[in-house]
Amino acid sequence: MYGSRSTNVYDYLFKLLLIGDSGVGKSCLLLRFADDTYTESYISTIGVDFKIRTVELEGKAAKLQIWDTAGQERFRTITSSYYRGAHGIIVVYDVTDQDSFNNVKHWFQEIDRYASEGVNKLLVGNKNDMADKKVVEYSVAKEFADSMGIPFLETSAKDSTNVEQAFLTMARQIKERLGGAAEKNGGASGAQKANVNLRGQNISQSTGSGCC
Amino acid sequence: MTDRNEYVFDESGGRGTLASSFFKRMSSSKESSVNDSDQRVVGAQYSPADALRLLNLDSAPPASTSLEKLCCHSYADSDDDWDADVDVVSSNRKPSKSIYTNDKRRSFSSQTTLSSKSNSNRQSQKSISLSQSPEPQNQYRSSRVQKFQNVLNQPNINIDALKKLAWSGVPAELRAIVWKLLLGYLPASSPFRLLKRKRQEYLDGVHEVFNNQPRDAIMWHQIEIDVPRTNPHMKLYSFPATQSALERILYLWAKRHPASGYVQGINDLVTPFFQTFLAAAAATTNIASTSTPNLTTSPINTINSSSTSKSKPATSNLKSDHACGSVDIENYDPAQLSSEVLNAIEADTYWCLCQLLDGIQDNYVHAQPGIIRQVRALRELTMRIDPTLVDHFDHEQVQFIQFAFRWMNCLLMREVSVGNTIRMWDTYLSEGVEKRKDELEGDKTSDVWHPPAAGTNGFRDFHVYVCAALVVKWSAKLKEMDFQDIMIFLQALPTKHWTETDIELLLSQAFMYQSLYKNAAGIAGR
Repeated sequence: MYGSRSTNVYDYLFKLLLIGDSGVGKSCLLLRFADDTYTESYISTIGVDFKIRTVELEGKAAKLQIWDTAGQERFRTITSSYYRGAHGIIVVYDVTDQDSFNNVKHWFQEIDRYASEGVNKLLVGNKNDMADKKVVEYSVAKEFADSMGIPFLETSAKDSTNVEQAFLTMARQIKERLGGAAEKNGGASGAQKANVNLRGQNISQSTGSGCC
Repeated sequence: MTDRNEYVFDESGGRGTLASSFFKRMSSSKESSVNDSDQRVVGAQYSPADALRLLNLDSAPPASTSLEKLCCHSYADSDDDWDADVDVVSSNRKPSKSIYTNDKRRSFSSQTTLSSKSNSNRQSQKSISLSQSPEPQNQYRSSRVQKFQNVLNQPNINIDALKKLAWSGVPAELRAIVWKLLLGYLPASSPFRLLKRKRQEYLDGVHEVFNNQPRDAIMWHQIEIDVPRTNPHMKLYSFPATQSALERILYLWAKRHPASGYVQGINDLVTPFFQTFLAAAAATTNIASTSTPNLTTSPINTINSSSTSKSKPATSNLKSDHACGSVDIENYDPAQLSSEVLNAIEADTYWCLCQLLDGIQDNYVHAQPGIIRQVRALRELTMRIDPTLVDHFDHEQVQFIQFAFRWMNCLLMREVSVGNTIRMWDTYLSEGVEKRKDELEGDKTSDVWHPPAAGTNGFRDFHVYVCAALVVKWSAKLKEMDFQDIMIFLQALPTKHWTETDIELLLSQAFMYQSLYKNAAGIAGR
C-alpha cells in the first residue's frame, strides 16, 4: 500500500529521463519497462509523468526513477527543468519517422544546455516491430550514435524487444560512472550524494523555473 | 484560522443562495465514497427517460414548447433565413421582443411535432431500466428545468440568473444552449441571429487555412497524431467523422492563434463542447428520424450494434449519466447526421473553444505563464487550507508543478471522465469566462497570481480551488506517503470512475474554499 517506505530497500537510486519527439513512443517504452504492459489506445503525455522500477545490477538493487516527458516544443520550458537532476537521459526516436530521427541532434543539444555535465546518454530507435514502415536504418543511427560516443538500441515497446536492455544499459552506465559515490549506504559522502542529488526533486529549484 | 470568521456565504454575489443548498447537500452526503457509484445527488441526473418525457409533452404549456425549440433549436433548423447582420457577440443587448415568439423561427414547428407513441414507449422502457429514477428526483428535476425555462424564456435573458442556476448543473437537454449563452457565443438577446453567420464564418475559415494557405507541417503533424489519442477509450472519438471534425477545429484555432498555436491538451478541451453539441443535435435528429419509418440509421441501431464493435463493452456507456435524450452519445457515430448539421456542430464547437481559450490563453503561450501562476496559487491556497500537507510535500521534496501542471494544462480532463468534466464545466462557465484583470489592464508582466476582483474566470480561478479541494481530499493518505508514492498516487488519481456525486462534492468543497479565501490577503506573493 501507500507509505511503503519499507519497500525502499535499494543500493542505488538513479534518475532517468526520457526525451524525444512527440509520438515516438516514450510513454509506451516506459509502460512496457515499468508495468510490462502495452496499449494501442494511448494518450499524449502532458508535462512530465513519473514511474519507478527497481532492477538488479550485479547483485545490487538499483531503483530507477524515470521521468517521461511531453515531446511538444511548447512544454520545453517545463520539461527542461527536469534535465538537471537526471543521471541518465534516453533520447527516443521512431524508426518509421525520419523527422523524429533528424530531430535527435536537437535533443542532444537540449541535453548539453540543461543537463548536468557528464550525464549518461542513450539513443533508442523505437517501433522497430514495424519492419515494413521502417525508414531509419540501423546502420545510419548506429553511425550517428558512435560519432557521439553513446550506446544505441532499436526497441519495440509493442513486442518488448530490447526494452529491458535499454534501461539496463543506461543503469549500468550510470553505475559505472558514479561507482561507489552513488551507493546509498556507502561512505558518508556517497550517502549524502545519493540522498541529496539522486532523488530528482531539486531539479526545478536548480533552474529556478519551477513553481515554488 | 482567523479567516474562518470572515466566512460569508452571501458574499459571492449571484451564488449566495446556492451556497447554502450546496453545503446542505454536502453535509447530507458527506460520507460518500469514491466507489459509491449508485448514489445520486437529487437534481444532478437527467435520465434519458426524463429528457424524452420533457420532449414529448404534447399537452405542455406554451413555455414548454419554447423549451423544446430551445433544445432542438439550432441543429434542426436548416431553413435559417434570419437576419445575420449582427457583428458583435454581446450579452448586454436589449431586444425588442421575445426571441421565442419570433415568427421567423417557424421551421421548428415540424421538429417539435413529436415522435410516434410507439417509439417513445420503447425509449422510456429502456431508459427506465437503465436509470431507475425515483419519482421525487423527477419532480425535483422538472422543477429545475422549469427554473431554467423561466430564465430562458425572458425576452432578454438574464445571464446572472442563468449562471446562478447553471452553477449546480444544467439539464442535459438544455446544456448546449445554456453553454453558448454563458460563453457569450450567443448574445442574451436574439440568441439565434448570429448562428448562421458564425457558422459560415467558420466554414470560410476552414476553407481558407486548408485550401488557400500552405499547410503548417509541424502543427498539422502534432494535431494529426493527437486526435487519435483523444479519449481513445470512447467509441465516439474513433469515428472518422469525429476525428476529421476535431482536426479541422484544432488546426483552424491554432492558425488563428499563432501566439500559442496548437498545444497538447487543447485536444482534450474540445471534447466537452463537441460532445454536448453533438448530443443536442443527435437527440433532435433522433426524435425527427424515429418518426420516419423509412430511416434505417437511427441512433437506436447504433446502440444495439455497439456491442459487436471492437471497443469495450457498451454496458458501461449505456449507463452514461450524460446521454442526451435517448442517444448514447459515447458510442454515437456523427456520420449519421447530415453534413449541414455536422458543420453546425463543428462551427459551434470551434467558436465555443475560442471563447474558452480566450480567457486562459496564457496557459498555452511560450513558457505557459498562466499555468505557472495557477500552480503557485494552488500551493499558496493549499498552504492555507492544510499547512501540514504542504510541509509534508516540502519534506518529501514534492513540488506542486510536478503533479499539478497537467491539472492546469488539461483542466483535470486527464483525471475525470468527459461526462464529469461536462458537469464541472456547468459550474466553471457559471463562474465566468473573462480574461485576467491585469490582461484587461495591459499588465502582462506580473507573475504573481492575484485573486481577481474582476475578470472572473472559472477555468482559471475557480479551477484552482477545485484542484486544492482535490489534493486536500487525500491529505491523510498523502501524509503517510513518501516522495515516489505521492507522485505515483497524484499522477493516477482514483477519480476516473467518479460519479457525478463525487464531482459535485468536490465543486461544493471548492466553493467553500473560495468563499473562505477568495479575498484573503497573502494568497499570492508569498
